[in-house]
Amino acid sequence: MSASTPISAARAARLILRLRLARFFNQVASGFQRFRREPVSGKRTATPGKNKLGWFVGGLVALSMIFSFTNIARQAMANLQERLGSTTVTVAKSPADAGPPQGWLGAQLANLTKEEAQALGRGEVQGAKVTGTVAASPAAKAGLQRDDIIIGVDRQDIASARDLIRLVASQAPGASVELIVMRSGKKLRLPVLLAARPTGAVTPQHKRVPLPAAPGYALPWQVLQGSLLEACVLMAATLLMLLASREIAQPDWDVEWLVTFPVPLTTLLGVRILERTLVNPAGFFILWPFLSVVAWEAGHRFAAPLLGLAVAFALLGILTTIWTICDTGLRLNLSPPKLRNLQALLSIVAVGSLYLAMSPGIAADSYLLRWAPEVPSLLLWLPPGLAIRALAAAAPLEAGLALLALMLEALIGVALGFAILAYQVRSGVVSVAGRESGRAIGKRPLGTRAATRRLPLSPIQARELKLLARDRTFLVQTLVLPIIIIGAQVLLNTPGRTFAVGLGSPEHVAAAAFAVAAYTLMFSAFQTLNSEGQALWILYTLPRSLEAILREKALLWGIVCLAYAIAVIALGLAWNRTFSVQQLELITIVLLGVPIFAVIGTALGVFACDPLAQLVQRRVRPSYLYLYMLLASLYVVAIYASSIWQRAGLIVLTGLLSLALWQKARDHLPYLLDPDASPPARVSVADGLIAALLFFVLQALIALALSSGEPKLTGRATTIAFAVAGAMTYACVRFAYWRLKTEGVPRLLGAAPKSTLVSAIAWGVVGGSLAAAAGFVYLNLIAQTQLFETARESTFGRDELAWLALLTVCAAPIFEEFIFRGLIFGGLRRSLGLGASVLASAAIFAIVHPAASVIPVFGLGIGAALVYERTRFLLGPMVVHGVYNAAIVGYQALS
Amino acid sequence: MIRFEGLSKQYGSFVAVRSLDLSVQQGEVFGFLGPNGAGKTTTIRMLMGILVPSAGHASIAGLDCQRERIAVKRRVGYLPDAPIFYDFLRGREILQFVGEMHGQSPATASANAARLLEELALVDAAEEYAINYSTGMKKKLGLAAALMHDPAVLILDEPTNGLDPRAAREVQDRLRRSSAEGKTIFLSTHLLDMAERLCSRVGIIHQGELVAEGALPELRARIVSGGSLEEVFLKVTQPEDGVAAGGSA
Repeated sequence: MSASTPISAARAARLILRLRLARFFNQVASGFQRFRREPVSGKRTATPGKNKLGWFVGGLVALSMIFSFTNIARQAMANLQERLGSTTVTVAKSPADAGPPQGWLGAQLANLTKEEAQALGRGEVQGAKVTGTVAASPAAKAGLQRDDIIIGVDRQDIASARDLIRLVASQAPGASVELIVMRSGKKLRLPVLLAARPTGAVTPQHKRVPLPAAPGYALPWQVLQGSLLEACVLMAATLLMLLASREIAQPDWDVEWLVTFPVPLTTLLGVRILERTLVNPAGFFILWPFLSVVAWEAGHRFAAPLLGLAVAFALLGILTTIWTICDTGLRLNLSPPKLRNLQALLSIVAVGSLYLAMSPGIAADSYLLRWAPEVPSLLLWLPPGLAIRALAAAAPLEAGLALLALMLEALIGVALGFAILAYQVRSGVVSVAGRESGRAIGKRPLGTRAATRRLPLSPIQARELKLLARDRTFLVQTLVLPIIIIGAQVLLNTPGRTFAVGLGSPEHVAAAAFAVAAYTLMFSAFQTLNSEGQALWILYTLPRSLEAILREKALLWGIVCLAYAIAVIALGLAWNRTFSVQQLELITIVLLGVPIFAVIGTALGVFACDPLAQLVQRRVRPSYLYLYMLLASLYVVAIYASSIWQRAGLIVLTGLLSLALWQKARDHLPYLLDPDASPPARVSVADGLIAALLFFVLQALIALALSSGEPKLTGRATTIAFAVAGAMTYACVRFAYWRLKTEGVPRLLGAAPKSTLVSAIAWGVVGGSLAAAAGFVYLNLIAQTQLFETARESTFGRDELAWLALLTVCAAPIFEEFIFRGLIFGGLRRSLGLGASVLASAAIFAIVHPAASVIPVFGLGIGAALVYERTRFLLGPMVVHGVYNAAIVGYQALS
Repeated sequence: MIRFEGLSKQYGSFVAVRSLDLSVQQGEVFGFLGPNGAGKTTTIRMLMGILVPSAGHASIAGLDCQRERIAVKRRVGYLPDAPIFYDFLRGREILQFVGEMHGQSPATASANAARLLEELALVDAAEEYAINYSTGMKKKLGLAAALMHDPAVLILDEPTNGLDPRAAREVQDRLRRSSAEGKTIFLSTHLLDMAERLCSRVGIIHQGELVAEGALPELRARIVSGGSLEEVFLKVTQPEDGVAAGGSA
């Protein structure tokens, strides 16, 4: 009998480590395949990814992660220095010099704008506008609201905000005054009991001076304590994150494989610790930046990143030992479902501790900074303490000693851990309870079936809810984690009163409602495709399009998240029992935003999902997750926007974007499981949006160049900028379509017979006249109601008028029709019905126009789209546009 | 019933399937044979509309497998090589779901599921989470899912791979019954004895090309004059020296 030659432990360790590193580098390199040449031979190589920009986005994301982690660490250090490393010294002006106590109202004030003053219609007399009130202040108690205008106190008129502040301050705390307030056109009298100005907010009489450095160190003692606590929390967060990672609950294939080799188990485990220490991106991202920042602050400057790295290695060695002991122990003793439940719990704690670790970098008033002085000095002799001491020591000798002690402790720790591990696996690595509990649940779950039947759910939706009820990790991730994250943001970063202030402001409530919903969508709608996992093939065998299935899921999650948003709004309303038109507007924005983002999330989730990826972690492309978050935060702008037109514009834009993304996702779905093929290029809404963006940006740039610093553009410059930008956009789009061999490019006329030409013009004239007629009605209406003060201060000269005519009658129809009818309406029509396409394209067309003309232009958009639908050539809508513009501009020029 | 016309699939510069022309009549049991990596699974995935052909097209019952994939799937039951199921769903619930997705009422789906679980001897495991099934049980559950809507065409990727001899026999019997009912079966395998017992006609694919096709007796007579199917297989799938070595010059 022959046997293979035994190998030494070191050799085995080297081989295994090399294998692991090779796997890691292949994994990283597969994102960068674009840089490789196409294989020349016919041999089968790794199929390159379809996503051509993946490497770029991935690199950008990694860079931005390093940048933001370092930035948070830097900010945390600055806060540590500010809060702990300096002391308050009272200077010159003592409280006694501050004069008698002053009265305080507790309202944030602003001066009136010219329009607001005019709207009051009181001529010269002005006032102060309330932009917010401090919770539980006299102003809040008296019922003062946002947008109230204070025009007087007792019998005195108020000219400005400063005037009011002076007047209030001249009163004694406890004095009773009467505010005369204008609220939505009505005059009110509100009695107010003034209070004393809360301390702390008074004019600065104190100065912060830095504390001296602790003996032997380059940083003050208190800062060392703070850094130590921060390091401990970071380590705890790292450990929890590692333990909560998905891999544990799955069978550990490579251990099962490696144990088949003639190598002792202890060697394998030792290598595992080593490998996990070296290849541990999450750990490095979390620990390295902060440690480097400590070294930087201690004066190591450009050696700081290296020092930080060395210390991070030592700490990670200890962490991975603990991690390996924990996960081996858990795997041996817990069945997979119990393990998953535990992991679900751990992931919550991990996110919480990560937030705690980040909080000093986000808010100056973090709990961590409050706890720092309580840190026991024993910790200084343990690895995190030694790490901080090594980094912050003043002399190289002390630093070296601390580093040596740290390495020694790390070694002892690893050796100890190793002994524990060897004991743990004394009877093998195979766990006792290896199966999911399924049968244990027993009989048919009649109850759940009856429950799901009563709801009007499709089979897909019923299945989704069933999975949600059973898979606790899924449940926690989708429904609990978003609340934890938002809650942690609020609680950890803004302790104390600020929370109450937040609930008092309708904008903050609306933003929070939308944020909770958007976060929940990120964990649900965004994951619709990803959560199918390896079982996606089942959906491909069903006689339903994948799009229809995703639509059902998006609907389900949209409703769930809407419930979340409504709950937050209800909380806000219960807290702050006032209801205004403005609040109604905000609620509408949130309620519209949630379904829009359910669509955006699902669509982006399709692009983000790579069902062909072998690794669980790589099945979601994080760049799309960031894109989703970016879009969601952009939508929050709508909540804080100042005018209704800005809000409406942003909503229409986001809505159309959601349609564009959905269309792209829909095109992409049949090709999802194909590693090679991509959908053929077709004209889509997304092209239209890109073209429109390009058009406006070019127009602005050219206009900027032509104006040469003049604030007001001449008609000639406007027309030239418009025409050049339009022509360039047209050329770019046509070139891209020609290169990509795109189908369905809109035609001006094509090879149409003469009769078609005539009918296109005829339809154009009819449509244009109707739209113009509607425009006249509108113009007369607004002239009577004076809704928009479009006082055209400057009258056009003859020369200007000619340019204006050229712009509106020739250039605008040609270029705008190509983009808004040809690309956007044509793209929408491909996946939507006539009515929806007409309305959506008209809406986007309208919002890019000035506020006063939004309504008539919406009508024009409808007319032009209908004529395009009828004639199928762009000439028709171009004539509509030209006729309409000629009529309206002519009418306005004459009158 | 099933037709390939110039069906090809390329991954980058690697040709997985090269211009396949083939047709399978209604009621036939067609065995799609070939060595590992010959392009069998790629072909089957193109039939299911999972992969998009680089050239040519496949059709089932006159419907294009890519353009009219929804209509195709109403008529087709599919069993992949290694079916993976959702975590946390019981075998019975998966069948129920598949039935309802095919438009059956909950009651009908439930009855069909019960019948198939009985037929494929899965009753004991019906209330167990499918993720805990052994390879063979997963395969049988996949077959049950494919049979849920009583399709006219069955497309099976290695239907008896991983089954014990008894289970393999049960599956073969079940397939023979379907065939007797007039169903068309397209199955890929490299188990030649099963192909010999079950298939009325076979095609052998090698390096993406169809190298032999016909009824079994005819093939035996034509290629190795009276030898076994194994000999036919070995003969037509012989590696060509120059190509297989893949010279680096």
